[in-house]
Amino acid sequence: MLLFTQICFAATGKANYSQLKTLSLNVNNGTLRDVFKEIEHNSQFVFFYVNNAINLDRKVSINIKGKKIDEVLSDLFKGTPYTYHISDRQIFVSNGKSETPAVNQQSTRKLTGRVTDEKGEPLIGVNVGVEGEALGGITNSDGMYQLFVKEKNVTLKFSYIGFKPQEIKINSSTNIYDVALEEQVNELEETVIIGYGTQRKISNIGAQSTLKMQDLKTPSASLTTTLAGRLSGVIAVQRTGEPGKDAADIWIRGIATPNTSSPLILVDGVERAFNDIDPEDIESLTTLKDASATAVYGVRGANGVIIIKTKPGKIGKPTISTDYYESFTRFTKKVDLADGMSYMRAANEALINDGLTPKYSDEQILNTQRRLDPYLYPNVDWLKECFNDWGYNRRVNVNIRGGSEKATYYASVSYYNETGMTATDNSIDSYNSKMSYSRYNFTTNVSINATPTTKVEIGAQGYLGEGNYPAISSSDIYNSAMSISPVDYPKMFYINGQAYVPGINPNGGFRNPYADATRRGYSNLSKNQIYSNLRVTQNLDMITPGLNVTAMYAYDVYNEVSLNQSRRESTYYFTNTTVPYDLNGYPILSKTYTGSDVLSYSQSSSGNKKTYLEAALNYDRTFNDHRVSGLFLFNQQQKLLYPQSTLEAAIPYRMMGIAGRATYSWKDRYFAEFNIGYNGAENFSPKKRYGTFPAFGIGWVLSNEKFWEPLSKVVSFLKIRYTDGKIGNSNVSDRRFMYLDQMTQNGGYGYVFGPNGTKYGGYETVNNAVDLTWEEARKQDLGFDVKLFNDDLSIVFDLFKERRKNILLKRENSIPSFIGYNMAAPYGNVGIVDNKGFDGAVEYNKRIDKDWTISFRGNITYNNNKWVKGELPDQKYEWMNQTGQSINAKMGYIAEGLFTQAEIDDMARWESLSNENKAITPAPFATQFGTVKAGDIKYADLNNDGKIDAYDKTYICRGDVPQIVYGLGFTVVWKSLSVGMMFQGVQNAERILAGNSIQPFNGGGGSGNLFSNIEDHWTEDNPSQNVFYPRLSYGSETVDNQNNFQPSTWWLRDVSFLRLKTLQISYNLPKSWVSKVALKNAAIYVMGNNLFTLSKFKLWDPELNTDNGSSYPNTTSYSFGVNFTF
Amino acid sequence: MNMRKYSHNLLSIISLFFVITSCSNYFDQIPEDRLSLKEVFQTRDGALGYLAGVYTYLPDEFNQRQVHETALYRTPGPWTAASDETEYVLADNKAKMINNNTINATEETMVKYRWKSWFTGIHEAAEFMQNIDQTPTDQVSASEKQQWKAEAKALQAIYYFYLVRTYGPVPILKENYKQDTPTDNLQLSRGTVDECFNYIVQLLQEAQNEGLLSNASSDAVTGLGRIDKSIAQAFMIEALTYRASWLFNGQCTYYANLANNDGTKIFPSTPDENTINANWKKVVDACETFFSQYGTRYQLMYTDKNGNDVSGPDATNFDPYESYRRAVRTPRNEITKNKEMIFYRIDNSAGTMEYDRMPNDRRISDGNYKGGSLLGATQEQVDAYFMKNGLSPITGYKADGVTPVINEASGYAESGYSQANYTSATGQIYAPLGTYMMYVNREPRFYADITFNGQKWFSGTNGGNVTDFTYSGECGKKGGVNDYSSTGYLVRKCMGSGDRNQALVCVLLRLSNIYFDYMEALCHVNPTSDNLWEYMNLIRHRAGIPMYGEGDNALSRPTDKDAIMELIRKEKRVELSFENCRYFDVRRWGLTDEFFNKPVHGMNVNGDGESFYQRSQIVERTFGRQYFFPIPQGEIDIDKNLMQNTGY
Repeated sequence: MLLFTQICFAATGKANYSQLKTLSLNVNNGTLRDVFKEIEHNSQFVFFYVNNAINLDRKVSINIKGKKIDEVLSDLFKGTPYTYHISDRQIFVSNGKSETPAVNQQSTRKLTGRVTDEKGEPLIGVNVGVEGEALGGITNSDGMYQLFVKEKNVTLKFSYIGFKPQEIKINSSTNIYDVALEEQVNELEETVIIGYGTQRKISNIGAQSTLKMQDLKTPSASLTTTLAGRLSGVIAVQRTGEPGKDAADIWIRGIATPNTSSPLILVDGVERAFNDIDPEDIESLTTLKDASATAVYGVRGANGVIIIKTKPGKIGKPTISTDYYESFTRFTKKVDLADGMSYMRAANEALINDGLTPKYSDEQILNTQRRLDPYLYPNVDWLKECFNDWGYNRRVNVNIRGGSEKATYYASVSYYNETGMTATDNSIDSYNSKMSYSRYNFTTNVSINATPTTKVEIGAQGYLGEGNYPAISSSDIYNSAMSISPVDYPKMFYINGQAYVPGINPNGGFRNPYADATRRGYSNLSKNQIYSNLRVTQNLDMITPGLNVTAMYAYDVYNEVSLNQSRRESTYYFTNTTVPYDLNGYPILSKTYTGSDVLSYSQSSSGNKKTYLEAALNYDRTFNDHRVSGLFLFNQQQKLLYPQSTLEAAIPYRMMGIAGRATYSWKDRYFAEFNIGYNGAENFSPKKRYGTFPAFGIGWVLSNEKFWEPLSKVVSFLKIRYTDGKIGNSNVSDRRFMYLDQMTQNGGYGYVFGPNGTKYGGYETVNNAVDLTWEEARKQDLGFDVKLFNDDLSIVFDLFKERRKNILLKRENSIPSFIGYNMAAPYGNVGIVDNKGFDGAVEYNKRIDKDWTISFRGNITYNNNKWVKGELPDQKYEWMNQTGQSINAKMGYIAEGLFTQAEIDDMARWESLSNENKAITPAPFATQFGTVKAGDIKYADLNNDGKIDAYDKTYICRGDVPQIVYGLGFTVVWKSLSVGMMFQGVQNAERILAGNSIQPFNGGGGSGNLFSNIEDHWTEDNPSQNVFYPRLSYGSETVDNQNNFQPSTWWLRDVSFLRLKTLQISYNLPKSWVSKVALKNAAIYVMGNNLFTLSKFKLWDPELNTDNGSSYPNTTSYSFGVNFTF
Repeated sequence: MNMRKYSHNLLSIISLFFVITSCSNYFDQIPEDRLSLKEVFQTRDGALGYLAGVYTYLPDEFNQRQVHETALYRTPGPWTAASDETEYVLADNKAKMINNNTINATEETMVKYRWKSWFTGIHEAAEFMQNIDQTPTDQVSASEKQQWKAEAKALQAIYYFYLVRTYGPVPILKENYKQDTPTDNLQLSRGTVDECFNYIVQLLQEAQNEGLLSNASSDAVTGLGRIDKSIAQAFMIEALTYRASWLFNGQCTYYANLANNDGTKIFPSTPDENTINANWKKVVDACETFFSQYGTRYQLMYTDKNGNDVSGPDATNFDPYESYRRAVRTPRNEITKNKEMIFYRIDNSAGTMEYDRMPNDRRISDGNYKGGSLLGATQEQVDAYFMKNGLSPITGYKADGVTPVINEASGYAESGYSQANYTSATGQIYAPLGTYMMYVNREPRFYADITFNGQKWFSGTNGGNVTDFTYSGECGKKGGVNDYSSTGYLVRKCMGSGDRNQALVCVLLRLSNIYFDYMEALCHVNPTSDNLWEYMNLIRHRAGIPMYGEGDNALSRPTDKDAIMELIRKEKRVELSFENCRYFDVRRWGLTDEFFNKPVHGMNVNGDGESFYQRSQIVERTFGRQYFFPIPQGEIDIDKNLMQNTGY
């Protein structure tokens, strides 16, 4: 009976405190009350008992050391009738007779009921009281209670630690009142994840945020894609939706250095990629944002830290859960290209504008429109031919979780499969180029209590990923489709069932996009990864209470093999378009490019291997009102990448550091902590190699002060935090061992002497040694944690400020070239960048009544980085200076609109003036690029020198990494039905459009496709300024066409967006149904991802990393799924 | 279990580990066997290899299509397409920036990298000179070290010369600065014209005196391609010629106000006649030294129609077409046969050049025989070739800039088609029957240099096709898409039968260059000198056209200095066409307005049949300030004493 109770509790409670906590107690002839007090004081245990039911004044003596609560209690109550239940930190003691006090049962009414949590699990030991009366009781191991009341209309009060209290008015219709209590997050008990450990949430001072994993369901292989808009402080953008390659770019609080700015990502404490981990296997995801939180990671944490914990085991009966979904996917937005007729009309207009002969006759346009002959008059929508409308993906995950006091376990397997949208050619059966990605994951976490004080944790996880793609990358397919017009040639020629690839360029240029997508072969990518880690934790209470030591060793391997089989078939075109067909009606074709039908083979592989070792001493103890903790930690990591072409790159990457932390708090009101990291780096000479990075933080919980009490009804919690610290970085993307010279052999620097053509030498001084030191940042953070209205509403808000200096920059522009060290620019500690901003999160949860629950959450991140000092010296003109600009800012011209005919006429008049008159008459406008005509873009002459050149360029675009990222979500639960929505948006992201298709006829010879909005351009008949395209011009070899394609504000577009990231509707099947098939829980759900996007930018998905739309788009998915728990 | 003992064991293991790892030198793993400067200079191979590296900043002018490349070595210029000789069809060729005057100091490839490359060469030469002495003498003998140092010094002079002719006067580095020299100590000013040229000549003379071989080919293994005394002399002549020219001697007033921060004028003030003469006299003297010391070693190429050497232009089987062609088209394995070359680059991008100049002929399926038709010769260049009687076919253009003024005496016609094959004396078909008359009865050099519509490509594998540049023709714009001649002509110089991957030598200076420097100098010093006509006629005789004042059908020798100079310019334009002289010559002579500040023309590549032969404007060109490249803006931003060229 007793054992059973405990297991039930373990399954519903949190970490099993009672199994872990050991007590030492020495009471000689004290009262039972004293013993309880002593235990409560030295541990987190709390005793519950009904007054008068237990004789607290009973004298006892007890002397134990290092025993668990179970042993203590059995000792204590030996020989008494009292029984007890332990539920995590709660101990319920009763007198063994009845769980309700004895009252007069004659004139009373018996009320019974069952108290459960929200999931329907019984709660044991809930206090059930009657308003205005002293009587009451507690629930038993089944969650049942019984009470005897005299009054007819009374109110029952239910209270239980960790749950919100609830009241029920009884009426006369029934005597059975079931209650479900709502969990209350208790600030005192809740812990948060911090660097190398956990901390009570109340004492946490660092800026961090945690993701609730139940929200993290998404039909995509990449976990990273889900983060945007879900965690405050995280900036994430997804640049492509291509299966298996769709990892998002992530930054924490934006970018503060031109060097690597990606955060440290730790999975179970080890630096690892997390993209291919199954979301179901993740317990929590936490970001550490400020210096205080990341200091212990030393240099590794310079750009913030993301800590991912996979699910540990749990004491209890094995629980098996299954989740399965099936989704249909489509592109969020497919680029819409012009049809053949619009293309030809626009091309003719462009040619006429340039004074050239139109290329396409009216007859040709008409015949194309009539679809007279698709070979002779092709009209191909290349993107439509290259990509299907629908793809799909599916995932299934099965996991089992359980354990006993001695050991717990979690094990899971999952399968994910996604099919992409590139088209395939049915006539090809010799190979498969269908775009797909399959992944098989496994995760196991086992924790063993090897001795009463020693815990051993073993984790292993891995995956096998298999991707299949066309031989030509999707971006290349897009590029071909953007380069060729719809009317140059048909999709394919067929003669007697035999396929011929159309093509017109003798050197193979202007590739056939359809052939690229379907007929060029395939490539197969196989990835596999194993993460393994072993951790041993030894409790050292025998030395001094609160001390433990832990060590971890991790070993990870990753390999990928890519196999490519590709070919380029010969291309054909009509020998003579005036005699196109033979007597059989087959086209008469000539070979235009000689290729091969045979697939050529190549294979490449790469991988890495990593070992990581960490050892730490931890101390945590309370002395009356004082609470102190400390950490001393050593870690080292070695990572080997292979294959590498140079010895230098093949040398394992090493990292070593020591970290320390000390915290102090008083009465949970005042908090202080000090963190320090000490690191070495391979880039610096031995005397400058080691850096120390300290940080401190202070916190004050105002709401725990006496004076706050009047306010606590409204503001139930308020904490102010401030942290300040130094972090460092030593890494740049392209240089190791900076303190050493670097020479390599490079044939380019060799020279041929002698009659035999023998080449001598070829030494390149790749880099000269530089003696540098750490790139350093000071990070400050001021944070506020507020809870309002009975904790229903919680707000976390942080202001942050970072100044990074001594930034390791390549001195490309600050060393004069004439001293001749131009082989490679050396690095120097030269730059300074400021990064400021705020992030915040709001959460509101309210259970309105038994049937209705609503919750809302929102978060926002804003950051603004700017150069205080860059590497560039002072420029010729102030508007060219880098200072004050953001790191990703781009330069261009300021477009003042389109030239009118009147302006052009003015210029012609001025040109006809004599030289003397020209000298005294100002020109109507500055010389632009080439000869401009009406309808061309007019640029601002910033330096007023009468001509537009690079000195008129200024920073016009802040870049495509958004300044603001926000997310809004809500969930409504009604009985078993829940509806959730999550919106995500970005603001202040810009791009300068450029490239094929988006800039009409910009290629040599007028090449390039057109977008379907090509009609929206300036014409002589409609000389509107409010158009997308300026005057059309054909081919960039004419000077005329250079003016309009300069990077300028004309082509600048705001790519901010707001999208409905997820919509999920799920329904929990009624208990009565599921229990019949031996299930604990079952739910079905439908889910949509990226359902719609609102953006000023309409031509393609604004999140993509492309200036002309030539990128595999992100996908929208519609999923249907089920999950079961056994 | 004894718990305490167990824990203590664990603790001691962990602490032991701390001690071990922190004591070991975890970060002392470095690439031990990596290459270092010291190691390179320990062996002969290494030292010679480093010297070879100093040579790599010499221009590979075969790579002019890729002037935008940002490698430091190879340094081609945009020269031929940035003159009125040619036009690249490629929209992004850097020559276009010069032609339309959009070149500016912020250009990040050509403008920035030529500056960087040649200064890197100068620095690398200094590094070599500093380090070579540490090489053991059993690897490199003391005398060889002297020779190699002299080569490095000559290369410094050559790189300065390339810098000055491209950017105008530049700072002269009198020491080998360290990389971390504070920028404040590097606020160098530009040298004056005189300082720059004097320094170049001084370095070359020192190199000659300090160890250069008198004839590099005396080193049978690693000799060819290296600097010897004759090459140093040739560069001295070139440098002195530039110094004496209009652009640098102060006659050009465009740079009259260009001064350093301390007030020093960078260009000399307008000179008197004596100064001009004195400067030219130096060229004459340097040339005469060259002729007396190396005159027997170098001579013009004279062959029969099969390319076999013949005694001279009077030999019965002498073939001017083949002789001229072989003077500049030298397969790598025939280097020693060409005695006309003075300085050349053996390691080059011949394939790039051959692709540019080979027609993109749709009849040919083998890609090795199909080129890109990228480098079109201009109508202006076509018009410059003489007729077979040695006279210019046209004397200029009418006010519309297109219609030629035909020199009736030359027998030139611009309509109709030929009624018979036009052949050389040795039976070579220059222009087959039915060729447009514009291309008939021209001098042999025309047929060696220009691929025109209706001309046959060379014989042999995939040869013999009649080139058709008309719009719908086999080599026309319509089928070529991006790769077609935009002028209706292709440069043919350096080409021959066979595929487009032949290893050829890139000639940087040949005897003709020196002849023209000599003629030009004499024309200033003593225009009536017989020596002038002697060298002029050496060129004409070899070209197979009537000479001035001697031989069959002799043309009269003018006596007026300007008229003589005009003839020298016309001759040089043809003889050294597409050899990267014209860009600099027209600037040196101050004739940019006449030649470079106007559109270039060609045939109508958008036309078929008769309409193809319509003279058409290809592209507008403007000249204002482009005598020199701008100095890269980035350099000026760092070095506040570095003055930008006027106009930028």
